[in-house]
Amino acid sequence: MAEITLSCKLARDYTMENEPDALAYLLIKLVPNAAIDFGSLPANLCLVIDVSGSMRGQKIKNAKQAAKYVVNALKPIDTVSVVIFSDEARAIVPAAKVIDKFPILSAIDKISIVGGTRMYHGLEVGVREIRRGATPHTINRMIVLTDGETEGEEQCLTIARQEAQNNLVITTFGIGTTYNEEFLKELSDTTLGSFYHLQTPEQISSEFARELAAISAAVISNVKLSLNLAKDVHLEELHRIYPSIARLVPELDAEGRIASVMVGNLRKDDKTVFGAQLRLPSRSAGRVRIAQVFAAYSIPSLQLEDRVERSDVIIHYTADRDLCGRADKEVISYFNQLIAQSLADEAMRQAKAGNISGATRALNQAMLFTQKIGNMPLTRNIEAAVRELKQKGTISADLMKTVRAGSGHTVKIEEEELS
Amino acid sequence: MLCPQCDLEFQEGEEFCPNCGAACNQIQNLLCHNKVKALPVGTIIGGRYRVENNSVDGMRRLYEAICLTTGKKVVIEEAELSPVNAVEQSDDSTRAQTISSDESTQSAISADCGYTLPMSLKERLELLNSLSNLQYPKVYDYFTSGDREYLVVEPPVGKNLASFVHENGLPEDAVLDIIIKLCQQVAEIHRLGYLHLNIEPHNIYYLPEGEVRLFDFSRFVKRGTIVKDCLTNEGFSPPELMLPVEATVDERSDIYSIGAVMLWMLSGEKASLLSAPRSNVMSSVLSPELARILLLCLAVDVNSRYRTVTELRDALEKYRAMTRASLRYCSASLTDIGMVRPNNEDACLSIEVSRCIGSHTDSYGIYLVADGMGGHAAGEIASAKAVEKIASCILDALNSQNGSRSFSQLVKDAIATANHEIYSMAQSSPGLSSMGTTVTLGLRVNNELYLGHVGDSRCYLVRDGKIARLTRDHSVVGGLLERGVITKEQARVHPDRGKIYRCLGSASEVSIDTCETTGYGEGLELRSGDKLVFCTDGMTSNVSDEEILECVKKRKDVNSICRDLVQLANVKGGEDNISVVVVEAIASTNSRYSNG
Repeated sequence: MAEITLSCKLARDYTMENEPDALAYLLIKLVPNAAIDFGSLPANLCLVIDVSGSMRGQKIKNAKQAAKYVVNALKPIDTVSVVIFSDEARAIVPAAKVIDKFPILSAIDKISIVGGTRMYHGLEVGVREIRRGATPHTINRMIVLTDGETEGEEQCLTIARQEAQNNLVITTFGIGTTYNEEFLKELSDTTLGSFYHLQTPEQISSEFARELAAISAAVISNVKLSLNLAKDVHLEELHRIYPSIARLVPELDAEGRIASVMVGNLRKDDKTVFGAQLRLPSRSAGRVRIAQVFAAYSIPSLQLEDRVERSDVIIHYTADRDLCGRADKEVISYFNQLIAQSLADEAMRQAKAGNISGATRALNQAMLFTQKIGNMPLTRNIEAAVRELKQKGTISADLMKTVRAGSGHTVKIEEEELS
Repeated sequence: MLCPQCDLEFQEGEEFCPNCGAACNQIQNLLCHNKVKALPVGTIIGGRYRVENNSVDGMRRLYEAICLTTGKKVVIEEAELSPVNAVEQSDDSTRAQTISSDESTQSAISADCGYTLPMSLKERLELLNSLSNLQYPKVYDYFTSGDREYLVVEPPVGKNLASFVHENGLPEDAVLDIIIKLCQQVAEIHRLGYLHLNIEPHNIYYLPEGEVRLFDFSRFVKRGTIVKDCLTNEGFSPPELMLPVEATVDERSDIYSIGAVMLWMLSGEKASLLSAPRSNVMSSVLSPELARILLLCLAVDVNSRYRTVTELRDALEKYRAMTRASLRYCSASLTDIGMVRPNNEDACLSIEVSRCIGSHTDSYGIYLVADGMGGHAAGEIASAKAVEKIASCILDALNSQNGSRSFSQLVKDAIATANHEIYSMAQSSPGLSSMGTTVTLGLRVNNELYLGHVGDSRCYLVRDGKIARLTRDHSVVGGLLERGVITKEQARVHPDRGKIYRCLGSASEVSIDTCETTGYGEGLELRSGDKLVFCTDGMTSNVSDEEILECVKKRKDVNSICRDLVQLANVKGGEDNISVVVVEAIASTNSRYSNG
């Protein structure tokens, strides 16, 4: 009995024969076996907290409250470190097991405000602490709390890209309304982490509870997706679609036939869904295996390493146009979530640039999808944005950040609900 | 084991070829739709149609057949009588058809691997009959036999757009022309309260005479139908059909598909699900105006699209008129004695003029090259006279606004007048008796080019990175080349390469070639980016067509192209005088196309 099931499904099982450049949408689902007790793994967390001048007041209070919430939720087998950054960075709590929480909590309490915002120093020190606390069996996660636009964004992204290779996930929390959400989103996307916008102190417990639940469930590790493509089949786009959207950049082998990418850790209690856009060559009628998908993974809690699941992606080339017309609703629904996100993001960019009609149009279009898919939180935020645009001709920075953060969080589509 | 597709040898027992993915056991390729049996070739249907070819498309069977009474080729569609069509109440409380996949039809689908037809053949017959005035395929016959019904229509002619565009590629202007004609056809369907819902390149036929016809009416539905199933064509179907819930469709669904066809023809891109919003893709390959029109077709939200195809057609026509009017022209001319000859017997000229009357402006260009011959300065006199006389004839005619004469006739008349004058001079003066000249004339009227030529001076068109010769040499060698007796390379070094059999001044009458005689229609429509090169044989005897093309592509402005071409001919020997005129059509940057 496999620990996870890999299944692949095309939006259409049929494609027109002798037609060049046909597109195929492929859904890849990894579902943990519900009958297996996956156990748990210790977490190795590093909290990286912005202590620049602009964090003064409620913001630093929120950040401290969030950090303490995390520490309180950890178990003695977990490791934690706390790094603060302004112009410089240092670990006020070096990586150590959470045996005695008191000194950690009081160190957090003592955090005070100093100087400017150089996040890359914070990330460098954070990475050092993560490495110190890491073992082959830990779930490594960095949580960044910031309110500002940082110097050296490119340096931060370079660190993120390097650490993504080492299976480190960075989750970013934006506090206030002045930070650059595009940057924080990119930082988390690069490492397949999530981006949250913290509006109120009350949100801290709910958002962090969500994140901590995700961390403790992420016991399936070193997951690598590989697509072994048939001759002349091209992989054009690959995204993780559920539980949140992240664009994946696979590496291709010299012949362009094998595309592989590390996709981080998977949750033991939920499925993970990926979407690929493939371009197909012209072929005569017949059944063709256009790709073989492999998912390699380890489950340290069960002492399982380098397990591999395989699934064939088969399409029928046919002259029957009607057969080619029928699309799978589940696949289309997941891909529609990608469209909704791209439209919502486009709307925010248009709104920032002052193009009200463009922003409204894109929001209305995005809402068309979010409503039908049933992503109600995002629908509500989009509705609010449309209202604000109508009334004030602009969208507040707060709402803009909420929509940007919300557009990446997708909803699960259940096949049986669609039929 | 050998792969049936790519010939790769691999281990026995594999189900698919590891290289190309083809299924090794072709028996596995038997698709379930084959369970719907088509009648075999040779069967006589309805007592009068003999099946020549058969195919299965969903639940439909299609036959190519011969009518035994008329001998005509026909296409016959066969379907079950009384197909399972669920009928539902639409939002506006009118009875509407539904393409449905509810439980009862689902079982029919899984059994047959097909789909419920949205409309019976009988209904389709009535609709096609009401559309017949619009060049839709003619309906020849309808009949039932047993539990089946048959619709007999004329077969499609021409090529479908998918293969036509694949083979030829189309410039923007031709795409606009096709889409505007398509809009007219679709508007007629909409006028009758129906939607096509299957507009994609395979279903659009491009006829040899430039007409466009829509085929495949299998997904025709009434306006306001609630579509429940995802019957879609990747890249062409509107997103409302992609949604996992039912959607009410109207004209705007067809508008999306028309936009998607246009996007595909212009950029080769299919309107991919993931590429929304598509503004970035489009602005990189299309003009902002055209990108804007496409965005109004391809908007995900139906309310952001054009409301009717007529609106779309109007926008396209307005855009086309503006782009055509907004071309401007630059030209330059240069003549050189060459490296060997003692004197220059060539003449050339380029003039750009415009005439404004009220708010109306017409622009004209006159481009001329002439290569004189006949010793003792007679050649110089002949070529100079030809240029002078032709230019003055045309300018006089343009000035007098004589509307009764076509421009191609004006070109012929001007050359004939010059011939008459040169012939008279030759006859009246013994020293000039052997004089004559070639001439190649281009008259541009706004964006139309009219050509006239005698002799072996040439005109080339450089368009989309390719070079085409618009004239045919009236020379001994040119004739040999046309008949395939010698090659291009042999022609360039042939001992008789200078001998021409037609020139101005040798007889009182001269036969003049125009665009029509060289197969380009009466006037050639110029497009943005086009370049014309007129030249005498001092250029073409040394420089190949490909070298001319290279030279034109390398340089941006017409003066530099003239200089480079002359220099190249001199470097390659410069055995004769060299004359060249270069013209460029440039899209005007101050487009007056408004967003309204």
